[in-house]
Amino acid sequence: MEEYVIQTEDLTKSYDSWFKKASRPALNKLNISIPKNCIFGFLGPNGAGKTTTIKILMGLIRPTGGKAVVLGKPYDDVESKNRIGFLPDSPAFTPTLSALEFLDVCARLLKIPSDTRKQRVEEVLEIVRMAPHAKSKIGTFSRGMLQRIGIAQAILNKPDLLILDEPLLGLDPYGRQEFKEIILAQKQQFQASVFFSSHILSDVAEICDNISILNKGKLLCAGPLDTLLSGGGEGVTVDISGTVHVRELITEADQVVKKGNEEWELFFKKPESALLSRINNLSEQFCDAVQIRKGGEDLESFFFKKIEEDNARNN
Amino acid sequence: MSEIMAIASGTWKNILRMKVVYFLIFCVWVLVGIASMYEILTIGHHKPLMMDVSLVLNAIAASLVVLSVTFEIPRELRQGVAATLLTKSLGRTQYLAGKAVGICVAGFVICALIAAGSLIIYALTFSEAIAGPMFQAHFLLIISIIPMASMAVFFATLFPEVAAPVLTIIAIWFAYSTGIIANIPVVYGGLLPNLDLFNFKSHAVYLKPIPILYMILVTVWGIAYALFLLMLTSFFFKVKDIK
Amino acid sequence: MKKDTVIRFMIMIASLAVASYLACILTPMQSDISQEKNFLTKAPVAGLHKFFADVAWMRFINFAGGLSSIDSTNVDKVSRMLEKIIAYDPNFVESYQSGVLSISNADPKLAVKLLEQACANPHLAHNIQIPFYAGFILSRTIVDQNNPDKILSEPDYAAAARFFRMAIQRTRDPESYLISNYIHAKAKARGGEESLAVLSVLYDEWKMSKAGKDEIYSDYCQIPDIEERLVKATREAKYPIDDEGRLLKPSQKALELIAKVQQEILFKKHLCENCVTPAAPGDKFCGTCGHAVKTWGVCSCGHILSSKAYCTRCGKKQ
Repeated sequence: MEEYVIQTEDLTKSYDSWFKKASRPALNKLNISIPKNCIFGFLGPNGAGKTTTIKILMGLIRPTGGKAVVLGKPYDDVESKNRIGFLPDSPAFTPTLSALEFLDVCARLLKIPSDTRKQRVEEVLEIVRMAPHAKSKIGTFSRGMLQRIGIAQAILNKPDLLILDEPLLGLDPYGRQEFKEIILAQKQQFQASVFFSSHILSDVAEICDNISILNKGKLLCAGPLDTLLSGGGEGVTVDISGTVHVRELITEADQVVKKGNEEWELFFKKPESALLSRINNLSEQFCDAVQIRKGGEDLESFFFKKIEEDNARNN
Repeated sequence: MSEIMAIASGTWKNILRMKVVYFLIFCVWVLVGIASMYEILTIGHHKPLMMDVSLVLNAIAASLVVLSVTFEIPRELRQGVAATLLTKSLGRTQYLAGKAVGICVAGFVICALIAAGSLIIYALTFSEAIAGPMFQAHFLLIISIIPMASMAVFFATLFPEVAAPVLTIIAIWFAYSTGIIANIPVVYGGLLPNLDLFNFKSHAVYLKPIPILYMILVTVWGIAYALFLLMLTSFFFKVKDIK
Repeated sequence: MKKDTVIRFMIMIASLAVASYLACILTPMQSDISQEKNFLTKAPVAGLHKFFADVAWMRFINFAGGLSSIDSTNVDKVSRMLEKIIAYDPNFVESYQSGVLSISNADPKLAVKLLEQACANPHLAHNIQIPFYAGFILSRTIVDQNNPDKILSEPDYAAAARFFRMAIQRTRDPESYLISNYIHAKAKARGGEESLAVLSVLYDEWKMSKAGKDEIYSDYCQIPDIEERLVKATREAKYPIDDEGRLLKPSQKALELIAKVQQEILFKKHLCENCVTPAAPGDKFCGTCGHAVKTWGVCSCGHILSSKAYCTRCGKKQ
């Protein structure tokens, strides 16, 4: 079995036209390796090249240079698509077909045997909570309902790899929570790997094991989330509500940030085991007031820092 | 094969669910029936007129059905429906073939309904049995949908939403006219389509039979030409970026 | 090159080869099946020729029906409409039978031209009306309705005879009027005294009907009742009448021909030699002119006896 589900080598895409060369490539020698059985967050500002990368991996567009290998096969291999589930950024389906009919078409394309096809379709409709609308025409669905159908068709074949482009777009908070549970279930129950792009960094931070950040077609960083946020070293960040608990730890913190009226963020660069034990006890006793985060920064700060550094370098 | 049929079933369901299709079929039947009132204006030529009108309207209906794919494919490419389908284990050639087959099936159903209704109206109006050449002419017309569908898929894949239908209609008109204009079989019939090979409207009107061998050969030609054009289209489609 | 690309390329080439090969077979096959395509207009109407012909026909009916008559003032427009119909549908019989005939008084030359075109159309090979109409127009003097002094066409009896013959050749059982028109047209083409000309035409036709297999006449057409016609023509040639109904003396040439006809053809008929009137069995004298006639009896078996020695039905010696 392959160690990495996705590997790219100097992957480049340039949208040159007949008359004009592009001012910069959409993707510039991207080298990433996504390990098996992990949830990988693919981040970047608008126009960074995230969707371009995903479309190349799905064989929808051809790279100008470099290589991409998905599940051990070239990116344009048709048969390997049976093991992949894909959700595009703005899902669109045949409007005159019902949800059931469309999923049946997808199931046939994924070569799901006819004896289990109907059952599987009903199953995924239940998972995404669209069973009551199974026979309604897709053209009548709202944005959120379309997103749910999109997720349904992506998980139809219990894929080894899920590639999702902005999957949380259009979902309400309940929907986002359900979706995150679906992703985690795919990883835990089916050992699937998940590769998704998103702008909602809090969700990424919550469920991703690994991330990468892209800016203007170039990879800025990639790796395990904890390692990246801690700056490569071990560190613990504690979010505290209320001054009572702050007093116990503030003198030993390497860095203190007051976030709000009674909101504090304490950073311990290399806490000793006794200190770490005290922090854990406090967190267990007062879990609402004391929360531990591994790593040095939150993802949002890290993300902005990286982008601004890169922009400053280019300017 | 199942992938092609999956795409085809989606396509023909899309077309056959449109209520306007059945309204148009009804209008065609009414127009065919109206031809019976032209006895005086044609000095007794209303019978052949009715048969001719049914064939002409059926030919127009076939062209319109085929034209629908020139809207559908570019729209699916633009909206992302094609992207969703092509990211399954579906080759691009299979997608095109599925679209062509779907259009053919939808066209067969619609044109068969028109033909059946027209022939029944004819039989009831004139209390006559339907002659063989009438069935043959309608059959050939229905079979002509096969190469027309491949032409529509070709233009729909290569050209944008606005240009594709216009170019398809021009190509169909051209293909029907070449049999008269020029007689170079390898060019017109080989590289370029010659839909005039299916045109036997006057035979239905004058009740002249068409040999079965010819009908079989022209059907095989239609399938061979459609296959050629689909493969050619697939070369272009394979390198096209689906944004 | 990838395997998939090679396979698709091979399928493309193979199907192109098959389509080209079939097109080379189907195109001449279609020409044989639809021979009228050779006469069709080259206008690119996307195969809707018949429909356009129907529309043009209705427009023609609508227009011509509104005219009190078709004459030199409107014949050009009517002719153009008719030519359009025929260009779109050369098999459209009504356009010849009704349409072309309607312009024959105003533009007989064009009418004959269109009818001649129709005669060459294989689809109309069994239509006898079309060549008959052409012969009929050619055998008349047609004057301009608005200007009677202006002759639009003089009779062309030779051409008329050709068309009448075509009409006769198209049917196994030609009508009497067809044959009469043919014979009289051919006679007028020969010129001279009409009754002699008619007899000479019938005699030539009879000779052609007796021709051996090695003597094939392209202008031969079968006249079923030729001997009865010869009887009548001989009588009329022997006793010609002028335009005012006065009896004339037959010419020497006429008498020679009459003798020939009587010797070669009419001898086997029971006719009065003088007035060529048929006699009945048992008659000794002609009831018309009183001339003596050879007596033909009736055998006991009921069969009429001619001058032969034995009854040709029962073999009884007479």
